[in-house]
Amino acid sequence: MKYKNYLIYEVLCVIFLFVFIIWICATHSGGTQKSIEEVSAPVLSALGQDQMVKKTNADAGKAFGFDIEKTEGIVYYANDNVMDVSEMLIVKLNDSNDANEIKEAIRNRVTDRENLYKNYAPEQYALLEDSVIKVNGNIIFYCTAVNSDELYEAYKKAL
Amino acid sequence: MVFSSATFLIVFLPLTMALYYLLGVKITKSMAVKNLILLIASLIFYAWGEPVYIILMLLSIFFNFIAGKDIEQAQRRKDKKKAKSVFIFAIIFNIGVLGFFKYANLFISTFAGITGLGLRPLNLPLPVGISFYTFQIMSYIIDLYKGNIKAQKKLFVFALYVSLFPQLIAGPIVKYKDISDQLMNRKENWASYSKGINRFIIGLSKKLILANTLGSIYASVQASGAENMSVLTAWIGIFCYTLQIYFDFSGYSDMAIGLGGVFGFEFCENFNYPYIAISITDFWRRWHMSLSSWFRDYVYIPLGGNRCKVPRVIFNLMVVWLLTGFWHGAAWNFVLWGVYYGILLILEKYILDNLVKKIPKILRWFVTMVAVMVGWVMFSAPSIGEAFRYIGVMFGRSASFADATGSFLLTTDFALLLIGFACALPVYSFLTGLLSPKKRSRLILALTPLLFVLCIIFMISETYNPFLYFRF
Repeated sequence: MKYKNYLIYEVLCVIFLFVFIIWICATHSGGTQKSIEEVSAPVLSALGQDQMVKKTNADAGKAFGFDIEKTEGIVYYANDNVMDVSEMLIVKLNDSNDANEIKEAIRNRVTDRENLYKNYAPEQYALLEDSVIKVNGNIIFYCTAVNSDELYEAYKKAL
Repeated sequence: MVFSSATFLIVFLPLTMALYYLLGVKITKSMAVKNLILLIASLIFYAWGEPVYIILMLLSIFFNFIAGKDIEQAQRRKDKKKAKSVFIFAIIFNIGVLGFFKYANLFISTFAGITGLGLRPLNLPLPVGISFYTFQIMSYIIDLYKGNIKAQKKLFVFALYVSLFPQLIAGPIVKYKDISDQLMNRKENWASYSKGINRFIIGLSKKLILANTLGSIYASVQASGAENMSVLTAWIGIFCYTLQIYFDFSGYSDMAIGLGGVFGFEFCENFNYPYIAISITDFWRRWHMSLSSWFRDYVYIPLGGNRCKVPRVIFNLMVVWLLTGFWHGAAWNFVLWGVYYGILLILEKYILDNLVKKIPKILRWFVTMVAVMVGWVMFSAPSIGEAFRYIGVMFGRSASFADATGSFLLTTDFALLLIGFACALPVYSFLTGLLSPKKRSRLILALTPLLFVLCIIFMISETYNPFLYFRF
């Protein structure tokens, strides 16, 4: 049987792996050493106090279905009007390994609400479709709002 | 995506099953089409959670597929040196990937703590299921090197083995040698399909009805802090966690095995009523069996197993249990948990063996359960210090034996605790075993839809849906 030199492919894989690691460290790592208050302050300024109201950590745990004991801090704002799906959540975790679980919980809530609003509130459904969920190491940002991009920009700068 | 989410149950699973059976089984009757459908579905399933990490998994698949071919080629050419060097290269690659993505944070923060250097942890999100699929890949590479299996010739079949969605996120850890035939040649039939659906629903109900409910009790106990806890509350809390982790993980394994059955696969069992164990050795023969057998086959036996002198066997056991602890999580409390079991197993094997045999079985069971529960405290605590504080409270280091919280939990959740405990023991299989096969299948036929409806109700009404093994 003809000899094939596989070494070149193996070395290429290792090179790709290093490129991937460098890229993922540059884009996904870091999280923040800042407190949740420091990160959320500029976001709350951009949010405007009349847009949503502050909710407790327990409200966040109940709404999203995650264990609040895994978090170092939570900032959760939502609209009390059931016909308005706007909400904004920033979660700082004790352990970044729990990020997937919390992100999945947020995603499930968005999917559930999309199913709920799809047929009778198309504009709210559109807002949910444009939701922003971002994980940066030990901190997670989620927002459903008309100005979610603006809030996300404020959050990114605050990290 | 997790099995207990609406997206999986309502969209992903029905669509995958429809495509698989219509296109793969009915129309084309082609194994390649069936495998391709499963592979695409598995990649979508994985990418749903963290799309970027699919690149890592694909890279890992490609590298190991090529390394496998390289090892086989070298062995065919009787070039042992080359085969060994590729094998070592592949093992370093896999351990390196797992080590970097799972443990870099732990080592950086520990090193920074010891040296006082201002190093910042990377805080990368953990690639879901990396511990499971890396171990599966390593089983392929090791068995190939040992000459136990032949290299997989088709890249997409190897990719399916690694990424097969039923067991991708939380096992069981399926060894390649156990499933290679099924990847190329399996037959779906009504019996395995209905058995699979039934098993999936049992797993789903373990997770949604029992694990989540018990988990919310433990979360409320833990939230009060060990310093404010009575002895009674601490025991109720850890009893709930003991049941939660069993139903959570064995439920997920049931769902994985059931889904495997739906698509014609037969996965290995992962649990065998671990809470009826009458010793720690017995417990680990019943808990997460696929992981135990992986460590036995690929670490313990190659190190010499128990066919060595006593000090060497003790060393082998400690290595295995240190690694088992580490495998479970990138935190020192998991290492402590592993070492704890290593010490208990050594004590049981060399010191307590004769004594233990003289003790009545019920007492042995009780002592084993207490030891297991103490272990779960180490496993679930956010830190080692917190674990010892909690254990202290369990054994009397508290201001009171019973308080209002403990009495409240005991009275309001007594029925749940009892049901949970009964479900963790082989009570159901004992009772159904008394029935004739016909009556048993009728009972299962009646109970399964009922359980599924209950699961849907719990899924809609309950928001507390953590999955404990998601982080491993």
